[in-house]
Amino acid sequence: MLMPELKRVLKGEAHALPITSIPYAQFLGLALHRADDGRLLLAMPYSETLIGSPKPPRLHGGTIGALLEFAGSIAVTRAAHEEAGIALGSFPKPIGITIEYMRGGAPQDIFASAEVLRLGRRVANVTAKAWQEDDSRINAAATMHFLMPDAQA
Amino acid sequence: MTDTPPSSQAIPTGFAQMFVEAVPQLKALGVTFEALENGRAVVRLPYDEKLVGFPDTGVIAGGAIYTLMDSVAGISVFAALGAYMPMATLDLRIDYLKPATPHQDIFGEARCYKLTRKVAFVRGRAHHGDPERPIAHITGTFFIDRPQKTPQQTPEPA
Repeated sequence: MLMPELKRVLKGEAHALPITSIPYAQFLGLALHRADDGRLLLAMPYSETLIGSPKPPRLHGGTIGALLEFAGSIAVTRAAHEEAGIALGSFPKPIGITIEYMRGGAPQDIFASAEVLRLGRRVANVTAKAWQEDDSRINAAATMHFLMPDAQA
Repeated sequence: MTDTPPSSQAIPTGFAQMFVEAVPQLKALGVTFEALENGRAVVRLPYDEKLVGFPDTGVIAGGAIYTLMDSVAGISVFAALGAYMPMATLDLRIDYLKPATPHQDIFGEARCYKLTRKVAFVRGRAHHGDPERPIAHITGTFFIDRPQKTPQQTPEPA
């Protein structure tokens, strides 16, 4: 199942699209961006509802985790589609995720990108990172593995 | 989780409740405070369509459970400290043991099983009411930003 937003961004029909096909992605306000170099970014625009620590205001670490998880799952879907030519029958399900937090999330937009280290038939291994103004100043990094769903019938 | 909490001090449950209500993201998720007893913190995430991550099955997104668990882990550290102190998650690992059941609330519980001067170690689990049938398990470490101690003060326990 290629999310309609992902399909459109990969086809080049749009450079940036909010994800509306998944309720929780919409809840977080996530949007897909395709950079000029083809890299996919997932953006979580700042909203006061994302705050997890009011004084000083910091993004909730959990929402950064959720952003990284989505970025990973989208990267797996894209890799299956583009590298293996497989249309997955459903969204990859996360098995385990470990997130290291390096900087608190300032009350501003945050971005994530993910890299599939290995796309197996059963399991995919992924890393992802999240940053705000500067992609060399990482807020959080994740290692995760997903259970590969069956191909679309 | 039968570990003895590292501190017998308890922060008032009223504080934990206020904390849950003061965090905008927890308010947006609809998280409520359930209990704080013997170093174990419990919160509840009511099922809501807006949190669905798998529209084909109605299963709640892992990220919502992850946020719930990060929060309850933090509350368990406050409980172990016996006071509110600024702290930051260093790392948090979650294992999704099985998909959450649609239309059922999710409970998150956590306990700080080891507290040092600067680092708290926590584990916890998410379930639908029976902790013996967990949906997810977490382990995490938190950095505690304690006020500076003067040398004359008593050394910390191991």
